[in-house]
Amino acid sequence: MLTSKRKTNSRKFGGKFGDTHLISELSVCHRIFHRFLLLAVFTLLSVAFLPGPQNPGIKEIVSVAKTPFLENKIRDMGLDLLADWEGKIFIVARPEDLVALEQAKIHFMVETTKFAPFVQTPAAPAGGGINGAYHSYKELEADMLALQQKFPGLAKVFDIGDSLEKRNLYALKISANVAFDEDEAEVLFLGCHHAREWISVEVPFLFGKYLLENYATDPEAKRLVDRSEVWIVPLVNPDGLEYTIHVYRYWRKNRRDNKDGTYGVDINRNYGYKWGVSNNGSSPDPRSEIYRGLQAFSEPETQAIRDFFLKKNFQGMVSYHSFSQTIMYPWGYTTVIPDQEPVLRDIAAGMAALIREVNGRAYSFGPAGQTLYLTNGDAVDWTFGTSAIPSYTIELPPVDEMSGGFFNSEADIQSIFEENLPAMLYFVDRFIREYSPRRSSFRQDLPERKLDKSRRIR
Amino acid sequence: MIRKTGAYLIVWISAVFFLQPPQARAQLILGQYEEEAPFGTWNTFAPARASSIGRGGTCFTLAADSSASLSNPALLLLLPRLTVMVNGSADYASFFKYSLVNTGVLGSNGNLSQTLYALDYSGISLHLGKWAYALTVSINELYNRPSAYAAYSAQETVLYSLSLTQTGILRSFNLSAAHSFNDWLSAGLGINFSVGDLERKMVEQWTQTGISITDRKTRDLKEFNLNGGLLVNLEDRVRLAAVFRAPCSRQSKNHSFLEYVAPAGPTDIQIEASSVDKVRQPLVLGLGASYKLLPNLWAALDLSYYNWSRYSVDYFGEDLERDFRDVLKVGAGLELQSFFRIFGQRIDFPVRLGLVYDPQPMRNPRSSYASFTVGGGIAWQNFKLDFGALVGREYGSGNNLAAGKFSMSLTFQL
Repeated sequence: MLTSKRKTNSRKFGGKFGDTHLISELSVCHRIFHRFLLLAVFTLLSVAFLPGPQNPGIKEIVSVAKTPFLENKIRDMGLDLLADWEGKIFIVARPEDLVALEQAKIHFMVETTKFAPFVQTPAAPAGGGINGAYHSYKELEADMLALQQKFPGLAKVFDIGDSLEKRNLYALKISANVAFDEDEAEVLFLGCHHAREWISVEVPFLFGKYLLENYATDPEAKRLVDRSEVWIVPLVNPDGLEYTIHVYRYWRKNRRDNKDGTYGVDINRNYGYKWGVSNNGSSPDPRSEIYRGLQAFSEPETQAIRDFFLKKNFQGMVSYHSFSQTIMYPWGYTTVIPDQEPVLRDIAAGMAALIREVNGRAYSFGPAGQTLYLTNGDAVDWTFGTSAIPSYTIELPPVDEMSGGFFNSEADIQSIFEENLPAMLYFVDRFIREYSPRRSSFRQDLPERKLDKSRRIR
Repeated sequence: MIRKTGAYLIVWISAVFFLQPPQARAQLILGQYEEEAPFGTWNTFAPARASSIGRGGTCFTLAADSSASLSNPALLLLLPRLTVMVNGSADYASFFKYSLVNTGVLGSNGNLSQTLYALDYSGISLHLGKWAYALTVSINELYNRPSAYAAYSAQETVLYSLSLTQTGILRSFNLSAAHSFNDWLSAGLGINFSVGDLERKMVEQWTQTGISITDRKTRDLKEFNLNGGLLVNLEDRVRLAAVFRAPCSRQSKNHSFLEYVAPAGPTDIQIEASSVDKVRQPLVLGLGASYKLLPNLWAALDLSYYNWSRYSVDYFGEDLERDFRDVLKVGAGLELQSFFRIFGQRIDFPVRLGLVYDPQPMRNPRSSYASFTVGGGIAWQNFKLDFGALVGREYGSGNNLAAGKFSMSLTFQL
């Protein structure tokens, strides 16, 4: 039987003794087999070496400025150099490499998305408001009031002032015994100074929502809410936001009519600490995107934040912006480092590490004036300069314009919030731990302004 | 004769349904961002055609053709047995602030203007004893704005560009009937079905990086409403009229598409939304009077009250703020009927003059158009050719805006 089979095989695949048709068939089979083998090996190698989904421990591609000093230092550190391109050195960095870079105080930018495979983000199903899953002013107002209604003992919405076009500026207070100003650590989160930075509304709002919705089930959330007063002003620039929704997506400033044909003051250049100290970090030109206004606190939006801030006793403040994945602390107006830099840096490093642990996305950090560019008259310098509290600007994703600039897909809102959540919890917790009670009795909270939804906008 | 009339009817009914124009009128919007503002004026009830434009837009008590069905259908009883009319217009308007122009993104040194040409009306009327009927198709509103384009170039290479376009139209189909109760009182009622669309598109591009942002918003509009009127004829010298357009809800199917593309990313982010919303159109009430000063000279006055304070716009589920007030529009005019004979044929030629005061509903800035109108025509046997022109200037916004219209109509009547 075996012989017979061999014979059969010999006849069928008989190579040199078979007919030419069979030889050809054999040759084709071999070629297909070899190609398949090559393809399989290539695929395996590809899977092994190409970047996959970002998980803890996955490598990031980061860039550092190409200077002789840094080049030598990086080579000495034994890092995996990827490319030398457009004045930058690109490095394939493991998590421990990122830590090493931070410890060496080498400023780097995460560039992984530049090398990511093309993925067209699916559009979220229509059904939200005009700006999809992002909040408009009225949607945010409704959602904040809904939280107050749903969690009456924990959440309270305050109208802390009006915008130029008479929209309300809302602050959401989250705390146990929310009606009272208890002797607890107070932490402030601000969002959307700049109109086009839509994600900066969502992250602080979602943080408030998270604390409230998890209060009953998550002991950690409960502890934070019980022992602190978290204040969230997710929309500092409502007029600008509405303009970006209805008219021009990339509008940045508020809607001040400068009476010279130009519009808008950059609210985040209008605060009163070192306001207008140079024309490098802000501009006196009303046409400029960083126009600082005619005087410090000339805008009702900054006046509202100032008055609100001064009535409270905040221990820490974070102002959310986008984009570039950076955590910045004072000073912004100068490259000089403040005396408290070690503490500021420690908190920033802690937040950056926690963010990275979530999905591997790295946020660089450092003093604002050194890390990104000079800014004067911004919220962080003002709160730090006047109250000496740890104050941060967090530039949310994406990392650069090629990855979306001021756009984030609707599908990314939740993941960006989730990657920031541990850092936000850490930030609040830190001040709870450091807080020493200043008084023992309750006192009444902010005088409450009546929420007036019927007010005309224009 | 009947066969000839039938042929005319077929031709003109075809015109009613097929000779619809692309775009016509344009309106301004003062310091607001409302895309839905009609081009020219917010007060679009009883759209004036060539004959009525010349006498200050008055059309509640005087009629020359089937377009009376849009203002006071009772006037159809004053028309001959059959009229068929087409009307074409050139509309001009200047703008200063609209959308992203002169509101902070793009600036202009002066007003921007646009002229639109269109065949904007066709209609047929039939008068049979004590009854009269009309079927018309017209363009009642346009939403066009002057296109805007800005670019930054270096060494003849465009590095950055921003373009804005907005177009839109509301086309109305009207079916009216009128009845004469006696020698001095008649009444008419019209049913209007309007459909239209509006598109605003903004494209921003950075050439070197290939990054582009597209913001496209569209609306599909649909509306039913009623209009009607009474006409009182006193001693053939005085006519009085009362007219209305019922408030109605205009359905607006809205769609928003926002896209960010960075090919080198590669990134393509799309944010898309749709909704079905309502725009509440206001009640309009009108009073008209005309007086025969001489056997061939009529004077006419129309007052139109627009209940704009009840206007509201839902847009993607949000009630948009529109700080509007009620307004009273006034039109007054004269019409002189004259004639001459040439080769034994009588040629009629009316001459018309008028004034229009047209306040806009925005409270701030308060703004009104004051317009002067002139018109004329020529009629021979069964045909009439009318023309009318309006030259208007706006007061109140500080931008010294202008509006104008030239309209011409051809009427066949039996």
